Amino acid sequence: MRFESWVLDSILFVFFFLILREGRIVLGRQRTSLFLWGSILWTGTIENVMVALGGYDYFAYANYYQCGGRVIEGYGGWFAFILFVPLCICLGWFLLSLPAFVISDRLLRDRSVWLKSAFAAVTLVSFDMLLDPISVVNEWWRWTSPGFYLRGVTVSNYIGWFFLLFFFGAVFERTVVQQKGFGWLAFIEGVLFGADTSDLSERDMGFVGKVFYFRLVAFLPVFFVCCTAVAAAVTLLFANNLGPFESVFPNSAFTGWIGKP
Amino acid sequence: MKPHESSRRLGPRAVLRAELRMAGLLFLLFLIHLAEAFFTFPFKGHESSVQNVLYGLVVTAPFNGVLLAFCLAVRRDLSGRS
Repeated sequence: MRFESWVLDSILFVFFFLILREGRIVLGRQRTSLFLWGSILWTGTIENVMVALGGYDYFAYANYYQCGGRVIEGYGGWFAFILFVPLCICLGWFLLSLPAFVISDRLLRDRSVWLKSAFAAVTLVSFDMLLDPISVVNEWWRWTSPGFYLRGVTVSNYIGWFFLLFFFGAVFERTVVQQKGFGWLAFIEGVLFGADTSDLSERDMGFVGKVFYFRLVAFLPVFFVCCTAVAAAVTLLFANNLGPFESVFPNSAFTGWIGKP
Repeated sequence: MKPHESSRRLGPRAVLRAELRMAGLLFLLFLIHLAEAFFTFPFKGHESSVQNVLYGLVVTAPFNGVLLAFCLAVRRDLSGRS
């Protein structure tokens, strides 16, 4: 039986509102709001870059979606998009990562930020290992890059999921929850915000939010370097599927790397 | 985690209950996906959807273990406050 993409879309939207409601009670309205907009900024940017590079795609731009054997023009199978990525993917990441963050915060209460983030990220990856093979057989999205494939999904995807929450969780915890700073960003933040950002406890939430978004942007290159390095190492050592792949972006980085048939 | 406006307004018990509901929602989402895995086509490399379910249970064991530990911790805190 095939599940259409709008089924996943609907499920994720419903659960998004339910988790958002509980999140506002658990973390508070302002923190949850920062987590949500930060999630959209963080995943929206990373997912769009990965799709544009040809790592995977959501079919929609290929006029793929059909009903009764006829292509439906103008409908990509998803309710709404942020550029090349369905909105529900970003909201879905939020609704999974917020509880993972809350869980790790409770179970590892006084441990380091990085340990908590790693714990939350592993929990999230464990859940995703069920979701992604379902998406592949139902053609909600497809992987178009060389790599070590497990049940139709490249392991690089799981590496990406790990680093997504690992860095996001650490930045959120350090900035919004602990209201402290990162040493390596202290100088540039001092110049940019004209204030000492190593202690944000006396600042209003609006200022904390600005610093949080800035830190997310600052951590984007860190994410890409770590993710690419680990994923490339796994691909070079264990790749069991080198393509050829047909991304909807024909001149993408991955397609160029492995070459056209 | 430092107290925030909700915990001050609603009280710690309400926050703990919301944490439990959040975990319950996450488990419900897991069950929905497990049902999808059963009713949909076999995954790549699988021959039946029963294999999908078994695979799903194995790979999500860490997730479910963590969720269980979390629920127990919240329940303990809840009963400690009653």
